[in-house]
Amino acid sequence: MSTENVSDFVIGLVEREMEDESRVVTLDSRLRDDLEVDSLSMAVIAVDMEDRFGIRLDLADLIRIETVRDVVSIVEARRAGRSEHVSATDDAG
Amino acid sequence: MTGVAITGFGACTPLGSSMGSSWAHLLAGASGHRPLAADVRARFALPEISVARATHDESRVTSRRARRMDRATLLGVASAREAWEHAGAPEVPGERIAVVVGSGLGGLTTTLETVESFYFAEQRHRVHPTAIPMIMPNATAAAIAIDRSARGPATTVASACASGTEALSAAFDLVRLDRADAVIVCGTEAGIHPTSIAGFAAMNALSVGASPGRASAPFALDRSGLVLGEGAATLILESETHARARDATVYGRVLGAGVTGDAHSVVAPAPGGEGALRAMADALTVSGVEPADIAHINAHATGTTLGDLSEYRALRGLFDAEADAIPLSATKASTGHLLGATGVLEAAFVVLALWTRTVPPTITATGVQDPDLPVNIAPQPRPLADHSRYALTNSFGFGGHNASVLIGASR
Repeated sequence: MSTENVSDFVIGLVEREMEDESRVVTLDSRLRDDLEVDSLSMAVIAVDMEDRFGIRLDLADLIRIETVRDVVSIVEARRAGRSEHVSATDDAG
Repeated sequence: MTGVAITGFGACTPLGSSMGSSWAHLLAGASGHRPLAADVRARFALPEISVARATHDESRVTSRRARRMDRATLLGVASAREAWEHAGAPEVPGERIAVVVGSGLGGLTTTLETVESFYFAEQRHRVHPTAIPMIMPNATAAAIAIDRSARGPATTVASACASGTEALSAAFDLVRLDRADAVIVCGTEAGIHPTSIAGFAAMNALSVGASPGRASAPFALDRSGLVLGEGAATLILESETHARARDATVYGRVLGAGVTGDAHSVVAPAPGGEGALRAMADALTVSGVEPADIAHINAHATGTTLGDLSEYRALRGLFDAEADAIPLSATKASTGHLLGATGVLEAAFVVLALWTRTVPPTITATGVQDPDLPVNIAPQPRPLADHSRYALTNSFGFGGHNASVLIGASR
């Protein structure tokens, strides 16, 4: 999945969790301050990302997240880290 | 103490997706009972029963919010929204709005589905972060409070099938004691699931083998048990002063309430109906109304052998021979048994009966009535005498809970 697609997916997730359908979600939207996403919604977003991308998010990740872009960055970093890890294993093999 | 006005109502029931349509279908003699689907029956070896599922207006609660709600909460919130709009969306400071919800089973369906997918499934699914907030018994009260920005007390009453009427009693007190200007009183239930069906069947509480039209036949000789139903109903109670100041339409008044316990058995009512009698007598005492002035009763009347008998004994104890003359309605013949929601729905039916001067039908009263229970029921709507001012609604629940509310006409 390209960065663009990850962004779309994350924006879609955030939109789905928001009760006010009129709000526009962008990569620079701040989840708590601009979108009033609560901790339960953050947990739902985390679970959905874990299911979609096969990554793990811990509490420290969730606390660090401020904007939608931060979420996308974490996903990409984890996926990159995992593929590096995979290729390293392959090399060792 | 201030008077307690009823200024709005809403409902999602087996008879309709609003209070208006539910009432219209009730008067038209409709039945909300449908046979349980054959495949479900076969898969879980369930008896041949009917169930009564509710319909709701999906536009009232958008899918985004609905995903975080158990069906009981969804139906409750939808009915509360309708009721609040019906009351004219009054301007009340949030701190002066209270919420009281009655529910027998709470978020039972979500509980069962979560256990199934996490605990028992071969392919284990994770427990979703929203599971606990959906399961907790106070979920509906919290959801309505958030939805209506109600910042007063948000309370949940759980007394099985008496929950709705007991919630109404608690709301009545909140207004009388000036703890709130407006109270959103909701009864809600959505517990129709193969597991709960099997549980009620195991207690021999369900009507088995009857056609859907006769499955719930209160006071009939062939009555054989209750029909499990689901749905929600909401009433808006408001202090008389507040309602008058904003020139609200007052559809009726809560004048008295009585809540008692049998301390006898967790399932069987006290044989003489002693607790039920005291609940009705207390409602009369609080309101200062004489038994002779009661013009209509919406009986609890679930159509079980013991329940109807015990209620009749209570009625005889209180009203003597008059118990056989007062126009009575057993509306579960049409709606099925909405358990914790039933009290608020039937209270609304009583308000509408007084408002429209029409006693709703007991649609199964076409059959042979039990000669030991000669109450005055009829299969068609009947006019209520012009001078009639007062009516009672009863609810009794597993655990020996009895609740009765006395409602007064406003015109």
